[in-house]
Amino acid sequence: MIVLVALVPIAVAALFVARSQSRPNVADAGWSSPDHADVTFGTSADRRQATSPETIRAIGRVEGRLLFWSPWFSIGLGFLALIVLMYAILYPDDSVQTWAEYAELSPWFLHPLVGMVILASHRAATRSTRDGAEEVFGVCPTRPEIRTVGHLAASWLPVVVSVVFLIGFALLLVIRSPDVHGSFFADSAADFIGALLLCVGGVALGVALGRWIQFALAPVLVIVAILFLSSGLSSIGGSGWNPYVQFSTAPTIEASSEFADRPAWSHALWILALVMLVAVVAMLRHRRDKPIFLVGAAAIALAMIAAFGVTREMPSASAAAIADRVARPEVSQDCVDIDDRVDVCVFSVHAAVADRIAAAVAPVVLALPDEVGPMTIRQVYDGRIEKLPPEVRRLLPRPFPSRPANEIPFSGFSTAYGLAGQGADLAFTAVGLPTRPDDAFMPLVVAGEARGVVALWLSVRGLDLDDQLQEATSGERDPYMDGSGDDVELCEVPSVVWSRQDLEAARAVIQLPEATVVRALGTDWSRWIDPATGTDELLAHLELPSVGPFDQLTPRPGRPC
Amino acid sequence: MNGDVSAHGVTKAFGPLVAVDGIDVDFEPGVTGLLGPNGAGKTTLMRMVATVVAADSGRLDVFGHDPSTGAGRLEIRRQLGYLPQEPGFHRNFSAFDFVDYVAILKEWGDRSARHDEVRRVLTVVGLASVMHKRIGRLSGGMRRRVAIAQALLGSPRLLVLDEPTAGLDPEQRLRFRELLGTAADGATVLLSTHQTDDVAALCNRVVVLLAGRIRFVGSPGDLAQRADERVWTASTRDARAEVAWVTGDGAVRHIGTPPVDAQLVVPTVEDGYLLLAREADVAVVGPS
Repeated sequence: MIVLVALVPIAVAALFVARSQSRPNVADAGWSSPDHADVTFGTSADRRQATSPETIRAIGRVEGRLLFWSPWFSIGLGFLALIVLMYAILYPDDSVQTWAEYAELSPWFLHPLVGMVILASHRAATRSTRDGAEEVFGVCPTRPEIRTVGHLAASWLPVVVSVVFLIGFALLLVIRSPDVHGSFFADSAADFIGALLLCVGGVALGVALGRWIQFALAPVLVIVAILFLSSGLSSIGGSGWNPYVQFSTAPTIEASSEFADRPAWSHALWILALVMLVAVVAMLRHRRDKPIFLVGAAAIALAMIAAFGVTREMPSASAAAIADRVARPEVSQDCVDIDDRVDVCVFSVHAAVADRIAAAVAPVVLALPDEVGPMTIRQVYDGRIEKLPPEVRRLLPRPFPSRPANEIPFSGFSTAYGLAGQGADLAFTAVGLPTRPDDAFMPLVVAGEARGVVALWLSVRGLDLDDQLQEATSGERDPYMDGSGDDVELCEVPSVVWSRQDLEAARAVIQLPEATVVRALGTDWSRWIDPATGTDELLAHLELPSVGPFDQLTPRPGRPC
Repeated sequence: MNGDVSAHGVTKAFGPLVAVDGIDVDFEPGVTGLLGPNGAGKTTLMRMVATVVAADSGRLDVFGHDPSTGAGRLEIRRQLGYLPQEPGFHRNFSAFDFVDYVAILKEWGDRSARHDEVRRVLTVVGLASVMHKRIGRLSGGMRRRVAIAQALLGSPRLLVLDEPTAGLDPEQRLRFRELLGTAADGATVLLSTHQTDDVAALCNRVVVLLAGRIRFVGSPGDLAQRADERVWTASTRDARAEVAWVTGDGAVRHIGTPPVDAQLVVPTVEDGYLLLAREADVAVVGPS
């Protein structure tokens, strides 16, 4: 399906190319005697001449329309459609988590379109030379620099398209994705402005390249160079804090909004300075006078101010607040209580999601014996401490305090699965199983242990029977990749590994009435979570046939994320 | 310097090749035809008048403006319609879009008026019915008319047309002549062509350029007159003729010094031009 959708923009481009290759096929229009009333000469002064802004607007209108029909722009639109299809229609559950983060991602969403706009604008800027029309255009009274500004004015189109896309995408998310929550921040405006400036920058870069380098592949080479440059900027500092990533047109998002104070406005200013510089480069092809140099100097000054802004230390109040959220998350969180035994606590900005997590987790809580608890599912900073800016790291306590044993940490909820996954973590924690592999990235093998089967059964409470079987015990997969409840693909190692026979046992238990299992577990909970209690004992207690002997599994290490 | 367009000692060279060699000429209102063989300097002279290229030396004056200055070029371009020898088109544009784009670059301020003007010039060249077809789908003749249409935008005071009838069929050439026939009173038209019958039908004046120099300035009748009593027909080729060719009726037409018993015919512009070109060639090469 996705491949088919991706083919659409390519097909559109092919159609355009085919059209452009078409041969003459219009019947020759006869030229009858001209109506002499219409034929006039020598009156060229008898009309109002357009001012330069009027000419720029007129060229901008026409070039914008031509840009819209460019095959490159169509491919860019195809990319936008693909993003909408993927994130708002096919997989709305995998959408961004807060509206502020949606704004943060807007430059990423628009980058494919901007890339195509660079190609299309280069084609537009070189069109008259390629087609041999330059001699006619060149003797028109409109000066070349006005034509260049007119080409730059075509950026209204990608800006309008991007606004429509961002609004439409957001509306679709409202309808389709229950996980997008929170609100926009003041910085969100800077993110959106920066994203829209990128569209202007795409046109400016294409035009500037066209004015200086006619070579058709020039924009492709420049785009590749920018990709390498961005990648290089992102990799500065290795796994540690990297302020220079903000020089990228779409900086990598290192941490969710509650653990970051991005220099969003400075970054928007940086993009503006880049756009101005590129526009000046385009104008320098025709005009090298004081006003152009002044604009260029202003752009450089702006770039320097922005560079300082994006790399400076964050305000101490922000650093203190972030350090506090990292070290003492409970201070700035909202909690939802489940059955007086389990609290779900999230940072205030995510308060709307706490109820959804609680709803997903409640069936697990209710299936637990009364003696289990209290426990807290808490949102915490889950990234590397080195990834935090130094001004935050300086404020963190040393050594970093460990979290209470009855706390189930989680870092984010970018997917619905992530939300539901908290139930699995709760189940595992309740029976004493780890929710993450150990420091050596070794899973815990629970082959033949009753607690492993109990954890699987608990973790899928609240799901339909088919989903329970699928989530907990889908049989033919590698047990190392199965059943942990975590998104194991991230680190290619689950926290717990079962034998094939345990999964078979879990399937049998899952198919029993829930009340039967709850009653059986509640009577002797400590026995069922004891590693010494075997799976066959549990099955016998539930009057199910035994499944042993059990495969002996040797744990194998995973690798870090 | 009496004309709307005057050249005085204008020279233009491309490397070692001197395309226009110190010419002095005035172009007055009406249609002036530029005749000359390929490489004679016609196109270079027209491109200089049209502000495409600058003269290396000498002085050009167009409606009192100096094309060597930015301000002068701007004023000239505001009164100019230009059809280059090989105009290029944006093949994916419609005829309307292309001419409209030129109209924008010609500083048409009002959009509605601009569109009216575009429709007018396309109607004048008989393309009203296909103005919204893509240029890539039009025949060569229709494309040539699109190029003519853009040159007519704004009823320019100065029209510089480099081989405008190339690619037009006979009927279209007639229509073009008819079109330009109305120009004599209002504009200064410079027309370069290899079609001497176009010159005879269209032009008030003829300028013959040979090897970058002006060899004749006068009316088409004057040019034809130069061959008076020097053109004759015979059934066989006469070796003494400067130029001879077989005509459509099988007779051989000669230009040169006729024999005593020659059957003289009324000379045409083409006869005058060929004689002039031949004489100039002899003058350059020297008597053999």
